[in-house]
Amino acid sequence: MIRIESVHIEEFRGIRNLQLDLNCENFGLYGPNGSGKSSIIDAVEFCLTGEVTRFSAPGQGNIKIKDHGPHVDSQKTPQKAKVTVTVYLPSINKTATITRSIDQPNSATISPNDRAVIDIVENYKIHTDFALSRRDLAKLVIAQPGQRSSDVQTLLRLGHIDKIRKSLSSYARTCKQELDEVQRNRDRAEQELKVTLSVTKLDRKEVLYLANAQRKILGLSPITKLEANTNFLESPNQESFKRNSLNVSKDFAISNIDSTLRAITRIEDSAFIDDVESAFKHLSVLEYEHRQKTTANEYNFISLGRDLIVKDVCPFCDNHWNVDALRAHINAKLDDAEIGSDLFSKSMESITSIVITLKEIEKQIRYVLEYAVDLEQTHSKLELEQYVNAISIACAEIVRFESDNSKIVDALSALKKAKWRDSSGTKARLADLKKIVYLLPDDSVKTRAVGFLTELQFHYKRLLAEDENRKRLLSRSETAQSIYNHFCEATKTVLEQIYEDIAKDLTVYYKIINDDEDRFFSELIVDPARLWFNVGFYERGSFPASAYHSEGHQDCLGLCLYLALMKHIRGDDFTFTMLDDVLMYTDSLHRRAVSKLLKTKFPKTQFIITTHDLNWFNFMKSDGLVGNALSFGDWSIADGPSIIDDRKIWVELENALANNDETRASALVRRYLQQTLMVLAEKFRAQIEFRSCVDYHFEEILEPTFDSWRGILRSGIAVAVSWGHTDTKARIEAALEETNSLYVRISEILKKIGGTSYADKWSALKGKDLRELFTALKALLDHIRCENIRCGGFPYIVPRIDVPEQLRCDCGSISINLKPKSS
Amino acid sequence: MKVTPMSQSNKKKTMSPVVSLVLDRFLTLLNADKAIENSAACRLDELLRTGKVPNSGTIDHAITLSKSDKS
Repeated sequence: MIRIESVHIEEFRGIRNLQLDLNCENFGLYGPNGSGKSSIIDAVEFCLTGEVTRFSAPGQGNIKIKDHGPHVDSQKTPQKAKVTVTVYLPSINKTATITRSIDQPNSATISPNDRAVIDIVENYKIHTDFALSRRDLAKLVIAQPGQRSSDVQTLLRLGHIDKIRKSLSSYARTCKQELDEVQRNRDRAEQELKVTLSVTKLDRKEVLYLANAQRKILGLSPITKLEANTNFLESPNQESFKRNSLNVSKDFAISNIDSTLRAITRIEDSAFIDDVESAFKHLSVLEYEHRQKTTANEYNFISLGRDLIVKDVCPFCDNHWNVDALRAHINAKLDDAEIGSDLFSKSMESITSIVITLKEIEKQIRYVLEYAVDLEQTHSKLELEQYVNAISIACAEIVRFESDNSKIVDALSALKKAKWRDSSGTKARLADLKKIVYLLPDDSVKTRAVGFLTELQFHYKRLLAEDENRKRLLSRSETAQSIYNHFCEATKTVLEQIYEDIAKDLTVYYKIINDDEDRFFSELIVDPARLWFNVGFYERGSFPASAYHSEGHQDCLGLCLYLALMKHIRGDDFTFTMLDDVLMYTDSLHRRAVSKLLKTKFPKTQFIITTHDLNWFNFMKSDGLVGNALSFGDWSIADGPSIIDDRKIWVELENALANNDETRASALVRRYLQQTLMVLAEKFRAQIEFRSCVDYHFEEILEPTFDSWRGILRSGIAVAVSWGHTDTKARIEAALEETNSLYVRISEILKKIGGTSYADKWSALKGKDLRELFTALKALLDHIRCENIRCGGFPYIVPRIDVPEQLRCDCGSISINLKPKSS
Repeated sequence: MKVTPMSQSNKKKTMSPVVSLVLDRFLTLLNADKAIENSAACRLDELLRTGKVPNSGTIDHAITLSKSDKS
C-alpha cells in the first residue's frame, strides 16, 4: 500500500495554497474549529479516490464535489482546484505522484505510468476506509445491529455475501410457496377421492374392496393389488363399457362443475387480489422508474462498461460523451439495477401465486369443457373456451417476463387487463351445464358402476399425480432450505472466527487505553444479517457498547474496533490512515494512552491525526507519536489557514517584520508563545491553577512555567554541589543567569500590553518593542532547547510524576542530574 | 495516460478473501449433506464464484439440472 511523503493543495475547500511535507512519518495537525484541518483530510481523500466521503454522508443534501470542492472563490474555475500527493509504495519500493483536479474528479494523473503503481493507487478507490472521522467512529459503536452489520460488511467488502444470502433466501421462499400450493392441490385431490368413495379415511384395502364390488356388477375379476398404474375399469377381454351421453356419472360431473366454480371464485379472494396489485405495483415501478432494461442480469455487463471508460468515448457505441457524464449515467443505471433486482424478486413472489391459481382454474375448466362437448352445448363450449384461452394467454404473458425481462410491458398489460376477472359469463355457463347434467336420466346399476369406477380412476390418478408433484417439490423445497441454512452456517462460522479475532485485538487495544479495566472484554456476535457489539462492564456482564460506557470511552471503543478491523482486513498493507478529530469526547489521559497504543501496536502505519485539542497535540509531539506536526492558527477566506510552524516561525516573523506587517507579526508571536508555553509547562511540570477546560491563556502559565524552569536549574545547581561537580554547577549557574536576564526583558515588554493574550492588546505592540520581544523570546527558547540540530527538542523532567531525577532531552545532550547525593 | 480497469488487470481481486472463505466452507457443508447431490453442489459453487448474484431461476437450474437429466 502507500505512505505519504508530501501533499500539495491548491484552491481546495478552505485551502488556497499549501505544501505539507510528511516524509512518510506520522503527522499531527492542530487547529481550532474552522481552521481548515478537515480540508487537508478531504484533499488527501479526494486525490486518492476522486471523492470526499463527508459530502455523501447522510444529511449533507445536495453537496457535490464539483460544486463545493473548490475554494469558495474558485467555484467558477474548478480546474484550479487540485491536489497532488506524493506517495511511497513500500511493497514495490517506488515513489509515485498522484494529481487530481476538481474539474476531472474521476481521472487522476499517476506518475510513473507503471502498472504496479497504478494498481496500488487504483485500489484506494475501492478501499475508501483510510479516512476515519468521529462520525464514522460513532456509527461503529451506536448503530443498530443491522446497520452495524452492513457498515462492517462494507468495510470487510462482504456485500456480495449478503446479496447471495438474500438470493438463496428468496429461492427457498419461492420453493416453499410452490410446495404449499401443491400441497393444497394434493389435499383437494385426496378429499375428492374420499367423496367419490364415501369414506372419511383412505385405506388401500377399503379402496380395493369398494372398487371390486363395482367391478363385480360389471362381471370383472377383482383387483388384488393397488398399484400406481391400476386401471379400475380394465377388462381382460377389453370389453368397452358405454355410459350415458356424458361418459361420466351425473354426480361426478356435478361435483367437477362445483369444483370449477369454487376455483374461479378464488380470483375474488383478497389474497389473490393483493397479489395482483402487488405484482402490478412492483412491475410498474420497475418499468417506469428504473427502466426495465437495467435489470440484475445486466448489472455485471454495465459494471464492466463503467470500468472500461477511460476516455470521453463510450466503450460500446464509440459515441462521444463527457467522461464524467458517462460515468454518472452508468452509475445511475447500476443503482437502478440494484433496485430493479429487488423489485424483480418482489414481483416474482406475487406472480408465482397468481400463476398457480390461474393454472388450477384453467385445468378445472378444461375438464368441464368435455361435458359441454359431450352434451353438444356449443354456446357454453365456445364461451368456456374463450375464457380459458384468455387465462392461458395471460398466464403465458406473465410467466414469460421471468425469463425475458423485456416482456415486462406484456406482463403489465396482462395484469392490468386481468381478463380472469370477467368471469360472470363463464360462471353462468357452468350453472347452465350443471342444470343440464342434473336433468339427465338417472344411471342404471351397471352405468352407475362404470361411473363410479371412472370417477375413482380419475381421482386416483389425480391424487397420485399431485402426490408425486408434492414429493418432488417437497424435496426441492427441503434442498433449497438446506442450501440456505448451509450458506448461513458457512457465513456465520467464517465471520465468527474473523469477528473473534477482531474482538481479541480490540480488547487488547482497549486495555492499553484503559488500564483500570483489566477485566474488560469485547464480543462481536453475528447472525446472517446483524452484528452485535457488546463489551464487558466492570464484571457486571456483557452489554451493548453504548449502554454503560461514557461518550469518551465509546470514542475509544470505536477507534479500537476500527483499528482491529483494519489490522484484519489490511494486515501488513495497513500502512496509512487518517484520523480526523476522532477523540472528541475523550479526556487528556486517555488520549495520551491512545498515542501509546498507536505507537506500540501500529509502528508500521502512518497516521495523519488532526485535533482541536492543543494538549493532545503537544502530547503526540512530546511522546514521539508524530514526527512532523503543524499548527493552524486563524483561518481567513483570503489566505486560508495561518500556519504556526515551530521550525519556520522565526523566518515567517522576520518576513512579516520586513514587510512592515506588524499585525501579522504580533499575531504570530502571540500564538506561538501560547502554544510553546503549554508544551514547556508540561515538560517542566509547572504548577498552574487547574481549570477543567484546559484552555489557559499564556499570562496564566508564563510565570509558573519559568518559575519551574528556574527551580529546576536551582535544583540542578544544588545537586551538582552535593556531588562536588563544580563544572556542572558553573554551567547551570550561567544558564540560570541567562534565563533571568532574558525573562526580565520579555516581562518588561509584556507589561506594556498589560500581560494579556488578547489580540487587540497585542496589536498595539509595534516596531522596536515587537522586534525586541521577538529577539528575546527566540533567545530564551533557543537557550532552553537542545543545541543538537538533529534533536532540537525542549528538555523535560524524568520521571513525569514522582520525585524528579533528571532533566533531559530526547537525544541525551541535555542531562542535568536532579537527584542529590544521599548523605 | 491509459488506466487499465481493475476488472481487466486482475479479475481475482473482485472477490474478497472473506467471500472466498465463506464459499469454501459452504461447499464443504453442501458436499457433506447427503440429500444434496455433489454435482448440484459443484454447479452451485461454480455459479456463486462467478462473482454474480444469481436469481431464483439460475439457482433452480443449477440445483435441479442433474435430477432432470436423470429423468
